[in-house]
Amino acid sequence: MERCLNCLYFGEVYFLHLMEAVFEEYAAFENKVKRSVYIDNLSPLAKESVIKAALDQFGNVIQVTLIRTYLELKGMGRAALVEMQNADEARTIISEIRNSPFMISGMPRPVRARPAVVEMFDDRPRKPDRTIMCYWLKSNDPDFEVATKMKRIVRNHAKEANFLLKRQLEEEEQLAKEQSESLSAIYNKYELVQHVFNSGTATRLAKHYKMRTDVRQ
Amino acid sequence: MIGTFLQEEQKEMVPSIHDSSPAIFERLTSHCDKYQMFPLQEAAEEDSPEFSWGAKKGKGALNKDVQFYKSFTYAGVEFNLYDCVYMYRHGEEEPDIGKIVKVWETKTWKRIVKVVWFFRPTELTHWLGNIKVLGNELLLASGEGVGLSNCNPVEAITGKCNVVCISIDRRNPQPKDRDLETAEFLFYRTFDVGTQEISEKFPNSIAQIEVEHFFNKVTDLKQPLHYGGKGSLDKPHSFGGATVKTTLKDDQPGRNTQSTLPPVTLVKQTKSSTKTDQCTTISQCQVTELVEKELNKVPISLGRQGRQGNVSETDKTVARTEVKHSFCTPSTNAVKKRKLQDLSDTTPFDQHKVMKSTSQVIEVTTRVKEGASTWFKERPWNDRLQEAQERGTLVLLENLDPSYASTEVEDIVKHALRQTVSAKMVQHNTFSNPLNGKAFLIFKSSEAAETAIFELKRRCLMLGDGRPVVARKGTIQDQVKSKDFPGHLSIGKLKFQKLGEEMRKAVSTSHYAQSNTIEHELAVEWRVLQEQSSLWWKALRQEQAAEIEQLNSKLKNPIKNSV
Repeated sequence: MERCLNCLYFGEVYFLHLMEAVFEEYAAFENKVKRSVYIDNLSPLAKESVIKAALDQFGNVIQVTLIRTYLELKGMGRAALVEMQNADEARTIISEIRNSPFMISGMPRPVRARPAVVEMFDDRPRKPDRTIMCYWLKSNDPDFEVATKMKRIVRNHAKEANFLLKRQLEEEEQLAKEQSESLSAIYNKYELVQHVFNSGTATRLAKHYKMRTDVRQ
Repeated sequence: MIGTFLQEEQKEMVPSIHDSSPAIFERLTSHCDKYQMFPLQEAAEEDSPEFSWGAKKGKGALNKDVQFYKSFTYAGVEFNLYDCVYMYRHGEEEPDIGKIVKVWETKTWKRIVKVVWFFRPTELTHWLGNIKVLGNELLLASGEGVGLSNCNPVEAITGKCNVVCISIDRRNPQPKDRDLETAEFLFYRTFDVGTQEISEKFPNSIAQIEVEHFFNKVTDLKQPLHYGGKGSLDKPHSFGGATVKTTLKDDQPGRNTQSTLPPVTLVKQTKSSTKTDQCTTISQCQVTELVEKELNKVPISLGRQGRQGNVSETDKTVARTEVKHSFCTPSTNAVKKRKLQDLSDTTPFDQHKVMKSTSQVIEVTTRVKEGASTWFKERPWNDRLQEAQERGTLVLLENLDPSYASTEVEDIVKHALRQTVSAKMVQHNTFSNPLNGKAFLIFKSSEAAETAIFELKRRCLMLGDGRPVVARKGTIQDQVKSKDFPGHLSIGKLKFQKLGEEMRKAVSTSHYAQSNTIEHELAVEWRVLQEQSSLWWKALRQEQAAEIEQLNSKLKNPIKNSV
């Protein structure tokens, strides 16, 4: 598009053609957004190919892009944008993953799927019919104070968000720890039971007490 | 053996949801039986809420000892036949909603109500699938079978519920806007518990009660209100555009039978946040605002227009907003038209102009890409970020409009700070602030970066819709190269060699959790946590948005963007 800008401007027909191209590009982008799904709670081990293979059962996966977050805190999952062939497939994925836990590259933490929004794509084109205005405020303008307050509040919000994120990660780690403990307890229990059968203790006890056993391996 | 508890032998990775649908339905309807276990003796206890019977209806045909009633007062609230009520189910947080269709007292002085249930959409996700539902929609049970209705003691009622029927069935008196505003729930579809189908058609009777009783109560004014009365086309200018007007004329004798009609009105009404700052939250404004946006839908404001004759009866506030509203629509239309004309008249692609429309306002036009700057774009963005952070040329801008493109941000900086930078918007994730866009800027030198930060701190650069730009030094964390992910468990003792190829594959391939495994239980716990955390974020963002909105309203002269 910017190459066109370098050309000379001549004639309304050319101009309209240009405008059309801009609108079309944005429309194509919006279509892409509708067809895309945002998946998070992914393990760092999940590569693009794994995700593609996982979601292939829902339809035709066109592309998978992993999203980089620049505040990578430890324990935060990865996220990916998956572009499907049509919007229906995208919606199916979202509702299916919502209803039954779906694991990718590890368990039991399931992934989460959301519909993609425009802001998730950092290579988005400009919105065609928008002109941006900006202005510097004079310091004696009554709005100046309000604006400074707003700046401060924006910073505060960012800090609050950070805090909430940390707490969320703590909760997640807590749950993981609990589950890990209960899982190893269950495993030990089953191992014990298996051991009892394997080593013949059960059959011996049964003989002693004159009871029948039904030992199935 | 142990392994199978954790990962089922899955020949087929994807379970079919249809297999478990009877199970879902049973679970859904089994709760109805729980009410039967509600101790009926409680009716006799002294500390139960007050109860008194209202008008009698007649004695039972078969059993003369049964007395039917038309109304009763319970806990100070009067309930009539065919009212909708909340019924609390022990152990559930959300009450069920049902319509009283029979009220009687047995010979042992037990007070029973028979209710026909409304289903919440969340209970019917399997049959709804991808069909959209309104925010406060319910579905009426119909047909024959379990889950249609129950007979419960009166004491299970926890309150009255205002449910309005918005079906366009000709037997249904159409609700007024006022009714819609005060409605807690709406319904226009039925769910047949026998065939398990969702339909917009209402049968002639449900649970042996005539269907008219399920529709809205006929008010003493008139019969089902038909829209498109004569006075309805008085104010054509309050509709969105030419196409809307013509469709109005075509469908003149009012009742349009498009089935998309009800959802369009109410989707807007149930949204709590609106982007318009001109119209207040009265539903009429929202309704017509939606009409403007979606010109191909036949305007629901037909119904509104029908009321214009009654303006004198309604509140003064309503009348004022109606007037105000008829002003706000033409102006927004005019703005839109003007904008389109502007685009065709002016030459926004004239590169070197920086137009100053008011004293300080800079209109940001697209800049031409200088030939020399092409080398700037070559290396991959991630490397450049790292390098920029080391050299001190990285700046983080916040409080931008989140829908900006990276090139627009570059233009803004060029015009406002007269610096050429390379910018990229930060991608949003589930916990990003939806109102706030961030971007990383790479300046050409660290001094340029520092002066820019200083300038932006000291003075206020405002963007068109009243947002000051916040800048600070950009920092990025290194990507943590950990393989651990909380929630992905493995049992240390399990020796993978013993498991064999198939087992190993089963762990690493993606799959659904089968519902009778431990894995499934643990996964459900994670889902709960995930939903919880999304609620936390929603609450936080709502509060933050309210704070910003408050401050925004104090700004004296914001220059509104066309966006």
